[in-house]
Amino acid sequence: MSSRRDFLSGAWAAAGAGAAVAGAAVLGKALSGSPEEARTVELPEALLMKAERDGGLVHDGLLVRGPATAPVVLDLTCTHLRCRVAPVEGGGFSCPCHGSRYDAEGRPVSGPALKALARPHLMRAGSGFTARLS
Amino acid sequence: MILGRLTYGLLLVAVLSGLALAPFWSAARPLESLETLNGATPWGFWLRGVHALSSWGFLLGTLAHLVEVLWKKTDGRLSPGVWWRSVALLPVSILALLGGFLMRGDAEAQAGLAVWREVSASIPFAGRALAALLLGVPGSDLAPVALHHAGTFTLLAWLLTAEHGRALAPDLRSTVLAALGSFAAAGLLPVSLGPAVAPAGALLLGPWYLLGLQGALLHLPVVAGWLLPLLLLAVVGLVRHVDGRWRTTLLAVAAAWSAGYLAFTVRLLLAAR
Amino acid sequence: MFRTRTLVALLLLALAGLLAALGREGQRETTLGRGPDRAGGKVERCVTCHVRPEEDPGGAHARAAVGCSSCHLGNELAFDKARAHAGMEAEPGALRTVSRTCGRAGCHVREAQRVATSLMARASGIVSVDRWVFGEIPQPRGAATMRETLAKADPSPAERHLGKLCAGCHLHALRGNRDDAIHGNGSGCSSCHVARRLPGAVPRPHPAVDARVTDDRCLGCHSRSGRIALTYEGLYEVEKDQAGACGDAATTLHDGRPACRAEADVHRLAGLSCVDCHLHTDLMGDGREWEHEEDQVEITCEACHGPVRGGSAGTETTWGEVTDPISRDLLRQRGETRPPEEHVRLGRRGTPVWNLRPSGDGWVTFRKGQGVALATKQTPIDANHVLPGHERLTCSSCHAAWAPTCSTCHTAFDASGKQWDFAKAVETPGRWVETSEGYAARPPALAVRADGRIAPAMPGMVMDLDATSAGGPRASRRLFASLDPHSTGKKARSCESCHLSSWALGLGTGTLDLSGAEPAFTPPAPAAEDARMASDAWTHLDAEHPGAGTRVDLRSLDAKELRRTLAVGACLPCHRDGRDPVYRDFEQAKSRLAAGGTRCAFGNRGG
Repeated sequence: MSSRRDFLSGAWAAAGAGAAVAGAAVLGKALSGSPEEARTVELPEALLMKAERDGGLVHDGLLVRGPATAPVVLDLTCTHLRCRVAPVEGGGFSCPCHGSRYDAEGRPVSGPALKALARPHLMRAGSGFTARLS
Repeated sequence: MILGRLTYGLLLVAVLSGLALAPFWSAARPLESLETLNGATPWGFWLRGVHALSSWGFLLGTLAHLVEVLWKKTDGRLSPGVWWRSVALLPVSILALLGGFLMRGDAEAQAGLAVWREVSASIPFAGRALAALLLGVPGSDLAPVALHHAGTFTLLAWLLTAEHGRALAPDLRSTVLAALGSFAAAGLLPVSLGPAVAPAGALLLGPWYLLGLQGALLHLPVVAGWLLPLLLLAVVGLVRHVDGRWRTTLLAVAAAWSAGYLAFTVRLLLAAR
Repeated sequence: MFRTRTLVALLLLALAGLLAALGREGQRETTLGRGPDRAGGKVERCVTCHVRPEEDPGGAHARAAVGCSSCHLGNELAFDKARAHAGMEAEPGALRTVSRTCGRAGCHVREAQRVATSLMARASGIVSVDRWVFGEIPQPRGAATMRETLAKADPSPAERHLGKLCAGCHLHALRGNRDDAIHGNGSGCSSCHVARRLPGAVPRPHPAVDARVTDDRCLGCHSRSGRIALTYEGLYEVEKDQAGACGDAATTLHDGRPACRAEADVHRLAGLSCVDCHLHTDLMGDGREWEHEEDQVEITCEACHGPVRGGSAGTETTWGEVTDPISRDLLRQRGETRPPEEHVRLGRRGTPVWNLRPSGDGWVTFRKGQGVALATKQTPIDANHVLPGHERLTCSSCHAAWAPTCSTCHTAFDASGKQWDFAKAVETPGRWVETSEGYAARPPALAVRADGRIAPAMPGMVMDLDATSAGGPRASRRLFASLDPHSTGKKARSCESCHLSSWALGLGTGTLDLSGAEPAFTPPAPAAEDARMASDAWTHLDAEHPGAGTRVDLRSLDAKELRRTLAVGACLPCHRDGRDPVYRDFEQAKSRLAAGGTRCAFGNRGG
């Protein structure tokens, strides 16, 4: 009797565990495919012209510089733990989280960050560009 | 176990004051709404103070109670299941408090969110999904954080406390004492907010109870963010199952861990100066 | 379980806490502002309290448009004063925070970056010349900036000299640590772009912030050293005991220094202010780190008045070809447009003079302040401008009417005195004492620049230096400096004022005798180091090496050039006009005279 009860509760547990694993797998798949993986930012011509005129501007976490026809875009996300870096006096950037420093071109200078600030892939989109962050 | 009961009372005060705060907080404009609460809402700063300080009190009480239990060797009184679940109360309450910290939406909270997202994401296999589940995807507002703060982790903390204390709710005396203590503290120790944007070149710290981890991340790889806490929990959890020299050894490891944590805290504070 | 005593203690504590909270609540209620909480499309709680109209700079930086925190930083979300003001910048534009204020992304990034490289910020020319005069570096050139100089832990004597006398006038100087002449100006960008608070003016809590830089903002710094801002206004500084000497022309400068009036620059008389001629690259720089002022300044006389010998090569283009974004921005801000085919004149490195426009056959200059148009005369191609032998002359060598002059300067270090130290922003022991035997306004002398052209010069550092008690040298320096004094006259100086003036030729005060085969010069007050030389001279007739200047290769006329110039001077009493046939080919005329082919009524001077 008891072995039958044990078997049944064991079966229920196995079924429950299986359902939980399946559910977690589906949820995991759904969440992993979230838009974070490939964020795109539109850079319309008006914005690029303003960036050119004003010598650069920050838009949606991106620093946009250079001529409107060939902008230079820098992702202001620290390559260590993805905090937002801030410009510092004399050019360059610093990360408020763990003190990583980058030069004006986004190359790491000191601190735990080892990779340069990302330069998003730019694609022509009408008269402007679309920046693709991977 | 007065400490344990008082801690339960603090949890109730935190939950009730949290419910009272809910109408004032906006997921889309978190910092702005909290500044309004702090600066332009009658008694808003005090209400927020009661919530924050009772929550801190709950965490400190939980920690102190744990030390008390280990010191007095009363851990054996709990069944292994209840013991492990009681140990789990520590990370659960830290995650609940961390949610509240992130809900400030100031520069420190934004940075904290980014760091915790990366720490969660560094957990093998499920990390990225777990980060999205608990903290939302980058660019989303703080609604998921708020949901887990007020819902998931508070509920879990309550369940684990109730099971551990063998009572559905704290007794009236503990609750009154916890409430009075929180009311007093909220008047005497105002809880501030940080700036919206970090001053150039500044090093942000994060909540006081996670300073050691933040300090560790200055030097250690990101996996330390979850491996180190897991190590402590495993050590503390295993104490219930061993005796004699092994128990002493495990407690020594836990003490060494705490000393290291303190050292990382000091290191971070020095770096931020 | 819980004792009553604990409960009572906690109740009392709770009461204290509640009382404290009550106090805070009452304070919060009374100090909470009543103004709006948004500005410029964002939450800006600064304007909740700062509601008075006089707290609004107006214009493009109006409070309603940009709020306060865009420029002043701080915490715009906070209601509480202490927190709202945390991290505030009281002097927006100060170069220490400019990348987050004026130079923040979306505002004036490019300008802020340029200004940081400009000479007004770096002052590297002043630093290098001063250190060279003190014998600390081999040449008057170097990249060291004033800011670096002030930061030195163990400054040299020259650096201490700079830190106490010169460092109050550069764009890094903060409001509380600057030369008394520029009190009232802001720092960095604000030094020029914020209206100056004049003494006696009704105090306004927030001055206007604008791109229309008025001359009073330039005056503070540029009334020192070369004193071009004073000269432009027709003023020259004098010593206190000289003030009576100029009679009715005596006056007092904005900072209390005694002065005399002289003739103002012709451009000033036409109502032009500094920025009507000076291009944005002259003032804010072009991003390159120039060593000296004359390297950075792009504007030339020719840009507006046309090349001396005609043509337009290199000085003119059409707007369609202009790429300079700042000039285009300035036009856009003012609501002005320029058709692509319209011609435009350019500075030396191609920056357009956007307020100079073609009109009919000529050009008109617009005053940037009021937009008034002024016909701009083009240099005529006449005898005076194409005179053989004058090819090397810059416009200002003839058109600069006068320059402030001091030929007897003494600088000494008094170790027992005290003086403000701009490096430390406090008064520190030791004092540099500058004395002179008087200033004068005189026609400039002539110098030869490194590029071989002749330019006006004045005694830059004809001085005795005694820095022994500062660990420095005791030395005499006889250095002239070349700069455009900003005293342009409509009429050029006379031929005699150069060809027959020992002062203009750098020989100093004395008597010239051109009656012999060789010119002779007698100084009434010979210089201590050489009896052939006047005490206020730069060189003498038989000098083996020409006199040195404050730049590499800047020099006085050499012995050959002096003789050539004086040879013309000898003819001037009779052949007064530049159109006189003898000047068409002066060398040939001299040869003819020497060969006896012609007769000189005044005797044979062909030598």
